[in-house]
Amino acid sequence: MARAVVRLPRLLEPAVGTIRQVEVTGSTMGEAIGDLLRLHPTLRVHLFDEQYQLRPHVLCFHNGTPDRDVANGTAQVSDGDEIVFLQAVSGG
Amino acid sequence: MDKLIVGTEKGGYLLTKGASSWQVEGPSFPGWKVSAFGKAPDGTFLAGLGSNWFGASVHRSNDYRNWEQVENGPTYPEESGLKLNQIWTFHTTGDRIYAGVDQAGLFFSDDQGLSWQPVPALNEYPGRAEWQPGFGGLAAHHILSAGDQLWVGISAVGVFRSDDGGRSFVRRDRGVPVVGDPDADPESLEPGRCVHGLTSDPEDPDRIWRQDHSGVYRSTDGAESWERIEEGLPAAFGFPIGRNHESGSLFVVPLTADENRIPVEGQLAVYRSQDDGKSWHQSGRGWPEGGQFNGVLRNAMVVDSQGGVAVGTTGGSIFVSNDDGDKWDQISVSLPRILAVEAA
Repeated sequence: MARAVVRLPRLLEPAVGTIRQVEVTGSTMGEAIGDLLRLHPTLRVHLFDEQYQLRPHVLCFHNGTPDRDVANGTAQVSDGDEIVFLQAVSGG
Repeated sequence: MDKLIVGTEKGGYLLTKGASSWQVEGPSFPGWKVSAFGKAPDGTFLAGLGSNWFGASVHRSNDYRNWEQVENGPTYPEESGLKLNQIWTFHTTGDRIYAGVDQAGLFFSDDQGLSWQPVPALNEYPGRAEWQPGFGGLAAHHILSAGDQLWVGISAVGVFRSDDGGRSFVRRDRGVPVVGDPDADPESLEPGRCVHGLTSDPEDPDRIWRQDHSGVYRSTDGAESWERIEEGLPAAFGFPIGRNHESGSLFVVPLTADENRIPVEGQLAVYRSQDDGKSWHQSGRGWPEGGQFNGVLRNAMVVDSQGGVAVGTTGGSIFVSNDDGDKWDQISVSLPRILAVEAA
């Protein structure tokens, strides 16, 4: 299992308080995100829709590369990887 | 009414009346749409959030200042194909809380708002594929109750009534025209009625008043049928309707027309009826002399039974009366677009 860091935008404060960074474990994106939602279940409704798809105006970057196949993603995760969630500039 | 909680497009604000002015605290939930407030049976405060980016959620608080998101909030089953975009209203009756949401549906909680379950009879209502949203979305935004009876207002569909505690629902819109289809039979039950606001008489719950897209209506038979009640109004369009259950006073905020949702000739005012809706007059004094071009949305009015009435405008202004609408004061504050106003 690799250990990665997830960074969260300030706008998600109502869900997770002042936490901006979460250390997660997993060999794939799907496993790492699963660990994030296990640690902070209130994030699920904000990041993903009812079909467990990333919400349209939410962005995810894996080591700086956009990735929308997140929830069940098979991309490999390595120690020290960075996963960043952001709200898109669209949306208001 | 000396304490208000106000939901806006950008956060929630707590307003407390002081000796000479109102104190403003906030925003809570900075950057979020705060679209609904409620109170659980045990007194815990509830807030409903929406977002232009992130999903909708329910939050609880004991003081309106410190909020905690519930983990098991309202959510549609994956296989339903429906999406929950916004919490529109809370309604508490007995030990149960209902939440009305966009996309139109109903959820309930029997544990003070900690967990929520869907109401399948409404959320899976036959023919809902034909429902169309109004400008504000496809939303269940008003809930009334009396014993086992429930009434749910959905835009732009109509009023649904349950006589068995939400196990089944039927449409109740006879007499109200279909919006945008003047040829449609007002006696039919096809969707397209755009109810905006509902209030009822707790002493006689069959008496219901309705601000609709198409005008103001009253029912005396539990929403089976509706009659227009617009005498004295400068315009029939508007969003909220509220009632002081002690005095019986009714309150609406007329706007010019559906295609021009501003006060008539810039004269913002609440209108009041003191005869169950037979006639309407401008409510008291204290309104600005013209120059007002913002409206009041459907959940941005609160009326209590002690003479308190407050409205918040789309321009962020708030007007308050503490004598059943005889005299109004404008609070010195300019908030973001106001979505919800409640007495705190």
